[in-house]
Amino acid sequence: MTLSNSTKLDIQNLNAWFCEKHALKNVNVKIPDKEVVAVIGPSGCGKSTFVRCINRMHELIPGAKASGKALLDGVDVYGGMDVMDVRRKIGMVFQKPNPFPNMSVADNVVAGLKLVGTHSKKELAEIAEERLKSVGLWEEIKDELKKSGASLSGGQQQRLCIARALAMNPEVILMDEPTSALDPASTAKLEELVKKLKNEISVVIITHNVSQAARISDMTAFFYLGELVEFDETRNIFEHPKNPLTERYITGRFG
Amino acid sequence: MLKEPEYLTKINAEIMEMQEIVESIGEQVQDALKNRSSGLKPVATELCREAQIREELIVEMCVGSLIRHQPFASDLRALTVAMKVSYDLSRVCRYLRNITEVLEEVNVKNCEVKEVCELLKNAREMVRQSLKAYFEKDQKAATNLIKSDESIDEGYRMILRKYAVQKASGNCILFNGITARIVERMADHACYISQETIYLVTGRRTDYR
Amino acid sequence: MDILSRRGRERLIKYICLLLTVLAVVPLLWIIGEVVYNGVSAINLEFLTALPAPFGESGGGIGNAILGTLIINAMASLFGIPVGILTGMYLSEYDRTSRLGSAVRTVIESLSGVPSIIFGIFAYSLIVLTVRHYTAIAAAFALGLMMIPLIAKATEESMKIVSNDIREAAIALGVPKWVRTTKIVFSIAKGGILTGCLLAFARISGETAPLLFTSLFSFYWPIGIDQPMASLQVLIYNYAMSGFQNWVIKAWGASLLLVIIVVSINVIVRRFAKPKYKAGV
Repeated sequence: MTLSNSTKLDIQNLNAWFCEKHALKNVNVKIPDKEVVAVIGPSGCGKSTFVRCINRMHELIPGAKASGKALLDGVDVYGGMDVMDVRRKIGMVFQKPNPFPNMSVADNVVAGLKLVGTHSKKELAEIAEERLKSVGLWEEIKDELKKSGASLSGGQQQRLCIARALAMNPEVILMDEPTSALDPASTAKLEELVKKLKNEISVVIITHNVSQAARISDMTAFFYLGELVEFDETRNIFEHPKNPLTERYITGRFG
Repeated sequence: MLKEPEYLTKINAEIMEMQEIVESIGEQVQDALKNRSSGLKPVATELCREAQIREELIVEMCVGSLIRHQPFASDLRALTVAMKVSYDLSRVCRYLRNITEVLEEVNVKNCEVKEVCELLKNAREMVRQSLKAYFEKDQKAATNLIKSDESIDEGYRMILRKYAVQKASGNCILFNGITARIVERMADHACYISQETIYLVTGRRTDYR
Repeated sequence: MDILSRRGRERLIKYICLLLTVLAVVPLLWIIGEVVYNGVSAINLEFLTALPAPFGESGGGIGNAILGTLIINAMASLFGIPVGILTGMYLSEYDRTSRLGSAVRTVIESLSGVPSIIFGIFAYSLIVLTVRHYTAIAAAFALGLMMIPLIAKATEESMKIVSNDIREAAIALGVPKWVRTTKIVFSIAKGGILTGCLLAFARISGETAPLLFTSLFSFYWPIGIDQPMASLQVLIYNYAMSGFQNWVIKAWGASLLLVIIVVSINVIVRRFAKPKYKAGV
């Protein structure tokens, strides 16, 4: 079912709760290395919860609980490593771009490194340039590095956030509807970037835009009411899905 | 399967119109064949042209729906299959017209026509059945139809064998040989329609060769 | 007819608002005007640098009171600002929902309404009675306590306003909570917190009652923080009601000086602490 790449993230029996509400039910899925996995499903189906369980942000919500395993290269994210390390190895980009407004563009890119304070100024500058180049921002803003991170356009801010996440050299990057707040041109640029990123790391991208999943992903996971209903190569899901629920969703019959 | 979207219903209505044209030509050709009469060619050409126009219209409607609705899964398959079915139907039309051309050019007043008439009748029935299976999305019927192509092939080979050794006049050999060949090709397109029907329902293509 | 009354009503409300604004601003301007008018004549070099002259004598100055006020306010700030900020930080970042948090919040809110004289009496019984003499430390303590609720509230509100998206970004980078709280959230909230501190400073600069119980007064230069100390507030209190024309004028001058000091500190601090980027830009 998966393409030829090895498994990067092996998720086993993942369950999640919000107080009494059972939001994720026994999710088992193997996220392959260096590929793009799209996570689709109607509102409230557990996509966001699923992704936030991967980098252990779900448990920060008051009353939230999670159980199960998520093995990153064999090491369990729940218990096998320090939670800060988890978040450094598994980066995240959010729906609304959130650069730090009190920092310059360059400082934003290396914020994760600078705040924990291990690199020299020169190293940080180099990393900032390298990462801005890899997200295609360097040419656009290389003369404006000192400006506030919040002074860029929406699409630029989002790419800045991706650069910021990449500066930590993660192995997986999670994206929670990253283009929802962007205009079509910025969306297209970001999709190109995602397709480029999979040469370096695994990408898990939540999208409510089914066409986007079809455009950029290699595998697609369809969630419904907290369960993983179908997980297959994108081509298969969009040409002949096995589960009638999947078919109903992607043809727009509901959700 | 899911309820058919409106744009698909409209496209299938056009396919039904095409089918009616094919039926009309088919009936007339069947008669001409039985009566060994010529002179049908202009009518057939005209009707074929109409079918062609419908095919172009169907393709345009499909492309328009692809753009507007960006369909997936069964909706997507339905559109691609509709385009192929309309093409197959236009080929069937063309073959029927070819038969009228043969009748026009070759003097068949004294030729045996029983076998090719039978063959044509069966082939037309196959086309009818394949379209029925398509409209009803009947996977079983489509599968059976593909099997029945064997009998047409057999009928074709029989005619070839017969006229290969018979001491009939050249024009009758020519007429029977070509017409049988045309009809066999017609039946092939009925098969293609059924293969597409199976793909429409299951989403998978099998190798039928 | 209808339109007329609607437009008329709009205008009426507008003018009422204008009138009330004027009513609010005019007394303020009047006070400042009076202070400047009456006090400016007292200001000269001797006034600013000399000790008070003996009773009945003319001349002399309020140098010791100026110094005293600055010292006491500085000490109070040294105590009140860190405690206030840390309290506000705690309430905003570490404890928004629990019972302890609510209790702390309630106490702080109540404290900001407590009359300043209570703080004075509290510091008096705690410190002055213990060491058996008036001391500036007690004054700093009382004033510092008064600053805490204001600063804590301002800090909490300023930090709460920082969008949660920013915190999520920091969490997702694997930044530890204390780093995120200080280097990011606090940094963004700096403006509001600073305003709170300056407001608190302005408030204690105007409080006389606590000083009467703690630092009392002195006619000499400040010799030690554990001793009574002169202050502008107490000086104004004493001199204004003294009946000596000389002293009354000096009281006006001291009032003017107090206003100038508070305003200057405001301006200077704001100039130095200008945020790197305007909000949103």
